[in-house]
Amino acid sequence: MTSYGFFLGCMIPLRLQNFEASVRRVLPTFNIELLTLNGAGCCPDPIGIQSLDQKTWFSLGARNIAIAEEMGHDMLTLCNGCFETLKTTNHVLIHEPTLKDEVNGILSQINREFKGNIKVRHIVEILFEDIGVEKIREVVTHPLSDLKVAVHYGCHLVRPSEILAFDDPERPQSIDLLVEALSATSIPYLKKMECCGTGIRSIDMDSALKMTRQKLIEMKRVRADCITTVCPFCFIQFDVGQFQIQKNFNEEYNIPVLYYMELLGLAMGLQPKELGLDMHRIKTKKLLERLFGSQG
Amino acid sequence: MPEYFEELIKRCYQCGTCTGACPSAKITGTFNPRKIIAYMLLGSTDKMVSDDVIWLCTACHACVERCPELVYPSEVLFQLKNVATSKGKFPVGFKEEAIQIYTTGTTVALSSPIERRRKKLELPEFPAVNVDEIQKIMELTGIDKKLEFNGSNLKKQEEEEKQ
Ligand code: SF4
Ligand code: SF4
Repeated sequence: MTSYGFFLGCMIPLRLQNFEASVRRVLPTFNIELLTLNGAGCCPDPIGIQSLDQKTWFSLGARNIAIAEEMGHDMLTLCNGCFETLKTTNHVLIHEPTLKDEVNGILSQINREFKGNIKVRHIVEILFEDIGVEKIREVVTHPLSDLKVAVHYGCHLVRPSEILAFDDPERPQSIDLLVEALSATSIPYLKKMECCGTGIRSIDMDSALKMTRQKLIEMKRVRADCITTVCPFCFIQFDVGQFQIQKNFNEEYNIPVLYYMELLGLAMGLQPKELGLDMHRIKTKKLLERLFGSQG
Repeated sequence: MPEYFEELIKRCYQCGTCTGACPSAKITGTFNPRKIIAYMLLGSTDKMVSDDVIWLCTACHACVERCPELVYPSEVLFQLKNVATSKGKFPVGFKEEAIQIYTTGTTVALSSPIERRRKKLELPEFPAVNVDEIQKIMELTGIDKKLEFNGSNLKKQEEEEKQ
């Protein structure tokens, strides 16, 4: 049994409960225990809060890490944004003693301390590096054969590579292999490693949607049956974004978006309802019928 | 602007690789990391700090991966935006997000519809956030003052709403 300080963040437990449901239902199969990080809050957002004030960003992030340190466990994140924030904070504070002292000066006022003695992990790292593609293949009871999946990694899983140090920043393979372990096909498409645009959603919605649309055009061109992401922000950008694009550009894509853990859950025979698949904006019903017949 | 970054950008030889890799440059047509750095090299950092265009970076870090001179353009942009914020220039959307975090510790507030959805999926109760600690940190870093929101007023409001 491996135990992790389970970093929920805010988008997942408060908005995309389907993400949390799939994680909680799937991980016990791999002997992973999820421990509550008491008092943790927003990671915080690597774009908004970091843009405003890096010291606040580091300090709030360090507080979350300190909670996991007190429990003596590595931290598990389910979101690229949380991963970027917490892994960067951990890395930078470990390597820059002056900044670490400064942040600890702030944390001492709330009786906490950042030590730098645990790791921050993304769920994809755990699946790919610790559990491994072979073991995942073994738990598949409902192979997703004939399913063409457009994989969207999301920038903050692999960049900046100097800090995140997972997979390749330009040509990653981990999620493609994880998708193929479920007997599905990861389908190549242009602009695969381009940003979904979510980072400027609140600044310039029109440009953010144009970025998403560029990717959707390519995904449609290769006739993807669905998109898979490992980040709640990318998920919303594609799921809710398709509605907004339909309105603004009068184009319909209708490509369901699934969190990788939802795909894995389905392949393990979990019911769509218990995974929260009915919470998606782009309906998954037709896709499920095609995969599993009308029981889906 | 921290001195370290003034030094860092001196490595830039204006090859434009960052802009070529930049999704925001492609789509917006106005945002251009190479050009922003060029202005800084010519001594116009202040002009860039007050230009709204710097907020159009999506922080995708494609530029960081490709810059042959290790200038870290997205990091340079974060520094510019931090300076802009301390001069009272920031997008309202980000300010609202900071206020939300100050108020509830999260970017989305817990509500009864959310609690119902969690229950329906048989998820455990959302663990309580230690908001006091978060507020204390944000007051100590001074982000509340920079963003011109009054923490104690917000706290009072919260209390009233709870009653
Ligand atoms: S890629 Fe680097 S060296 Fe080239 S213009 Fe951009 S910042 Fe300057
Ligand atoms: S991080 Fe910003 S500047 Fe760099 S490529 Fe991405 S959007 Fe452009």
